[in-house]
This record gives sequence, C-alpha cells and structure tokens, in this order.
Amino acid sequence: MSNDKPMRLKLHVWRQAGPNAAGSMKEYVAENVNPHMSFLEMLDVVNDGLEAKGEAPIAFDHDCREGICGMCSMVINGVPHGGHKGVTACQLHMRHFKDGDEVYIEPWRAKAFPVVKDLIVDRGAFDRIIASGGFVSVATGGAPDANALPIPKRDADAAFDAATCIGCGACVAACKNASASLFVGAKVSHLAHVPQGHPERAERAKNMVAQMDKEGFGTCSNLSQCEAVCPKGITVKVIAELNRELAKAQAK
Amino acid sequence: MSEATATSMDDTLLAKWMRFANSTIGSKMIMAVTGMGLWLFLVAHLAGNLTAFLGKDTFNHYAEALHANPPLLWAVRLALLVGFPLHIFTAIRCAQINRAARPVEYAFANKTPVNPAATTMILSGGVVLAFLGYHLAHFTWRLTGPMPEPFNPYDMLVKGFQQPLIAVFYIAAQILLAGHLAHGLYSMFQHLGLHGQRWTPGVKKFALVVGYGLCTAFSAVPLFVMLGVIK
Repeated sequence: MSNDKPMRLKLHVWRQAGPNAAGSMKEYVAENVNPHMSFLEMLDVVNDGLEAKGEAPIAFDHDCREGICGMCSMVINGVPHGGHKGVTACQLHMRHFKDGDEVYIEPWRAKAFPVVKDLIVDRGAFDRIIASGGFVSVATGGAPDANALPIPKRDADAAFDAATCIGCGACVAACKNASASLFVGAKVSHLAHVPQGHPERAERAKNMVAQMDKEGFGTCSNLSQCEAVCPKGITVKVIAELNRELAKAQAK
Repeated sequence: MSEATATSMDDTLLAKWMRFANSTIGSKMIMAVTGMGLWLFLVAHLAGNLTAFLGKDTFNHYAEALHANPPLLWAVRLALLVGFPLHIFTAIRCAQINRAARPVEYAFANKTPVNPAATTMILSGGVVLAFLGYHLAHFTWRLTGPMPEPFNPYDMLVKGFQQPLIAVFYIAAQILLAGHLAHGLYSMFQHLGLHGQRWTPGVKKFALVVGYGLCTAFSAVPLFVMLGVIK
C-alpha cells in the first residue's frame, strides 16, 4: 500500500495583484495534503482555505488538467512543471513531495511573458508568433482520401513529434536566455515535414523568427534546458531544423 | 502576411542580409561561422607550435617560412582582424538580448541541469581575450617577457616558459579555452542546422575530445619547457 498519510507543506508563492503591481514571495502552509492529489489540486485546497479566511486565492492558469492543453504554467522549485519527465504541473502528483517540504512556486519569467496576476502570465507572444506564420494552403472541397497524398513514415513521425507541442512555454521559462527557440522550432519543423506546409515554408520561417525576436525572447545558447523540461519530450533537433529552415529561406 | 515583417519588392539584397544578421538566429550563425574560422586558425597555430618538439632548427625554420610569406600571413591576419571582432561583438550583443529577455529573475535558482562550460561562454571568452592580448604582447610584439640575445623565436619561447608564472598563465588560459571550444564546437553544428539523431551524440563527444585535446596539446609546449624536455 502506498503511504496515504496527509502531509504538511510550506509554500513560497509569488503574489502579484496585477500587471503593474509590485509582487513578492509570500509564505503559506498547505495542510492535509493527500499524496494522491495533483499539484493543482493541492493549490485548490490552499485556495479554499484562503477564501474561507476572506483572502484572495492564488491565481494560476489551468484548464484540462490532463496534460494536453498547455495552460498550467508554474515553476516549482526552480523547474518549470516541477521537473518530472513528460508531465505538466497538473499531472505532477503530491506523492513526489515529503511531509515538511518547502516548495517554491513562481510564474514563468520572461520579458515576453508579462505577469497578469500571481502565477498567471500572458502568453499572447506565442499566439502572435503562430499568427505571423500565416496560412497553410489547403485544397477546399470534399475531404481527400487519407492515402491520396503519400507521406514517408519518417516525415510523418517527425511532423507528429513536433506537433505534440502544447505551447505551454516551459521551454522559455527554463531557458537561461528566455529563448523561444524550442517552441518556434516545433511549429516550423511540424509544417516543414509535410507537403501541406511546403508552399509557404520559407516565408513562415522568416516571419515567425522575426516575430519571435520582436517579442523580446532571447537567443539560443544550446544548453538544452528546454528539452529537459518539455512535457511533450520535444528535442533540440527542432531548433536545428528551425535554423536550417531560416538559412534556406534566406538563401532564396 | 504579417504586417510586422512585410517585405517590399524593392527590398535590397543588403537590407535582406542585414535583417538576417540582426535576427537572433542570424547572430548565432555569425557566431558559428566566425567560431569555426577561429577554430581552424587554432588548429593551424597548434601545428606550428608542435614543431617545437622537433628541435630548435625546425621551429626556427617554421617561423622564418611563415614570415617569408607575407601574403599568407596577412591573409590570415586580415581574416582574424575581421572575424574576431565580429565574434566578440556578436557575443556581447547576444548577451545583451538575453539579459533583457528575463528582467525578473527566479527566487529559487533554476535547477534544470546544464553543462557549466556552456553557461560561462562569455566569461571564458573574455578571459581568453585578455590572455590573447598578453600573448600578442609577449610573442608577436615582444613588449614583455624575457628575450634572448641574439634574438631567435625558439629561444624566446623557451626563455618565456622557463618562467613558471608565464607558463602556468598560458596553461590556465588553455583550460578555459578548452571548455569554450568543447561547447562551441557542438553549438556550431546546432546553429548551422546540422543535427541528426544518430550522429549528434557523436558530434558532442567529438567536440569534447577536440576541445580538450586541442588545449592539452597547446599546454604541452609550456609544460615540457617547464619539465626541461624542451630546452
């Protein structure tokens, strides 16, 4: 039997009332933490306690709570999503903590991701990068047969691997330089591997990189911190592909 | 397309390449290409150094042959005079962009594991640059360090490295350079878009071996002078 004994944790949480308010780390005690809870459920319980006392609950982003939407975004003890391979904060379980542990919870830190409130950051920069990539040419009309456009297995796999990116921003949060290279790499690589993405391929790479720079993300120093924290296991291969795509687009 | 990056038809080729050079990825490609040039220079430089092991005459002949060929010497010097500042200024510019990209630091230090040599590239680069200034003042401009009478390059080298402080300084600079090269060599491939699932792990090992190997070989000359093997 696993240990179901409730735990008591000391939390240090970034509290910031609004985008322009000054923030600071505040201490909270999380009582009766069940090891089967997810990290977000633990925060829900803490928030219930805060609300009961008439205090403002800790604001954090969340949606699906099953690791596929990319909404949850918190740096737990210095590592985005808490540092367990292939999981987002919502999928991180409290069994990984011990009674009496101190836990530091902070928002993503990047100039391009301004804090909205507490642990919530504005990731609109990612949306603008996606939008700058423009459209993908598609033939309208009836759905084509799945086998009408053969794609080699290797390419399909590479495209799918890149397409698993949920845009959570952990890569930026982990990077020493707050670089968005892994995210942009995943988006560019995804469409560069399939024929549907070819007509706009060069323009897409150029425009997405220009938008990435405009948003104020840093440069890539090849430390692979992004790869280490990516909940979807996207590798720095996509960054090399992004670089290659941009170089090819430039030569055109 | 996006208005932020709209390109007009009369966009000149120069403007197109300037924009590329100014982009974060373009900047890192400049770092990679100039880095590769500097690395090739180091390999050639090392080959020359190692002639010290073949005796006084061979080393002096090599030095003479080098200076007897001004076009080659100046072609290399010119390339260095362009490539080196470009490498340094681009590095400083990238460091500024990176610092600006995270205005508020984390309260809890980032625990994502990293290679320490890779996070201190600007530091190791700066120290190596300071070393280079000393190195030029010593062996190229002959402003400092003991000089033989009558002058010959081999005796200048031996006399210099017989001073333990000078020899140790040279070796220390090589250790820092080794870390810089080990990360830089792998980075070069990545920035130029060269990545393969099968061979990238090999590139990382190659970078380590070549980075540290090159600097061990460079250190061998002052070390063996100190040990009295080269005299």
